[in-house]
Amino acid sequence: MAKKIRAIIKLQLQAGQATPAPPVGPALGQHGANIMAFCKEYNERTARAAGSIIPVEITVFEDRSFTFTLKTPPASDLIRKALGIEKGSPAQKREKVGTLSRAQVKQIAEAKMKDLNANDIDAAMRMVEGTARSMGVEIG
Amino acid sequence: MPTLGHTEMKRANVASEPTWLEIAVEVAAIDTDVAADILRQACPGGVAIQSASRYELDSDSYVADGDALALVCGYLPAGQDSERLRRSLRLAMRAAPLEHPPRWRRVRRLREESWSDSWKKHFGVQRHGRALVVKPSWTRYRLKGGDIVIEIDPGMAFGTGQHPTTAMCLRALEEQLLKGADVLDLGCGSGILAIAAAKLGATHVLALDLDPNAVRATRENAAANGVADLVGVREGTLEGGGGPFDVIVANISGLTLERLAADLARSLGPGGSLITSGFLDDAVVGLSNALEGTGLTIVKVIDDGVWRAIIART
Repeated sequence: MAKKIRAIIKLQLQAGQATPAPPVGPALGQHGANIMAFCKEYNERTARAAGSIIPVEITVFEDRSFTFTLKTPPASDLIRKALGIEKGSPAQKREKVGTLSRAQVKQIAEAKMKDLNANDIDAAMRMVEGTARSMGVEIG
Repeated sequence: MPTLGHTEMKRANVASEPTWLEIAVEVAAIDTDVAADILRQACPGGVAIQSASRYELDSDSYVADGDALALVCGYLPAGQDSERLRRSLRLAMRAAPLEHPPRWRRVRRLREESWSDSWKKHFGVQRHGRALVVKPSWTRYRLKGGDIVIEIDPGMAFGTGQHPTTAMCLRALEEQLLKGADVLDLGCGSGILAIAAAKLGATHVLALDLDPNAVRATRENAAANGVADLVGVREGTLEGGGGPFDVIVANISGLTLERLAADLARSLGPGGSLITSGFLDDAVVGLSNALEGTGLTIVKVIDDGVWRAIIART
């Protein structure tokens, strides 16, 4: 039997900028996990990715010890970076904020592949396209 | 959509009555990323996603249950224009291409203590090296002969003695000849290392940190330990150098240490020692090279779990 798990918590945080403030404090504090220790290690592990959102999946065990794994930035973050825009469109149907080429979609899908529930690259690309459309980004 | 800067959120966090609003929405697992993205626009501090997990016999492990609902939570400092923000969040969510309609939870008001207290329950008395004893301010301890007790209330600052990097720095400080020494604690956090240096015999300790929370915590902890007259605390860093110091202890991050290597070396007096920690194994080679490049000699690299510390000399 695997070590008993108390909670699996996913956080989307700015790389290198975790603090004991929400969302980290309430998410870990309610399970008695050491908030400061998490912040320190997350910031150390993500220091080189400053400016990106680096999601983290934290597994807190019954003895309140924990491990975490870092994930690739959300597709929306990668799309914003690829297009050099700050945020998506507030009215994505009427107002388009940019066009993503098929090659860029594939590049993002490849980067995200290991974290997506996609069986192949085509399915991953469809997920990336869906996210792009929801941001008011067209696919070229 | 108006957004809050990270600094503004931190400021709100140290206000006299810090409260936060938790905005939570329940979505289908497939919609988690889109919902998280929308919430993150209003809550740049980040979002939390709680997914159900199930035990998988084949892999003998717990995995996220992709069929269950996920709860996406964002946090806003209370007092911000939260009502307007919540309205725009609902509108944005309604316009988003979600597979299933989201279900909004009632907004919860959180006080900072509600999570900081739960963590405090797990912070007890610890011994480090031969004589150092670190204890939380809210715990009683019966002194034994030769004990040097450091009482710490970490507040929101890092440094309770529980983290391996702090523990390694405490042990390394104890091994230095600190009687009459001039010491610098760079990135002082709760002030635990600065206080340890003062209690181990240093005649003057300068404690620096960029975080005002840490500066305040160090001042309060130094006073509570009766070493306020020995520990000078300042908000700032070491850019350009300072000193000269007999001992510098810096428990920060590998990249920052590498960047500050020349300033650290320049700030050490003849025969001075440098204690660095706060990094993992992958930073040891780069930092060692950077320190040796300034003319310092690496005395030893020590480890505690995944964490490392490097001791160097002029």
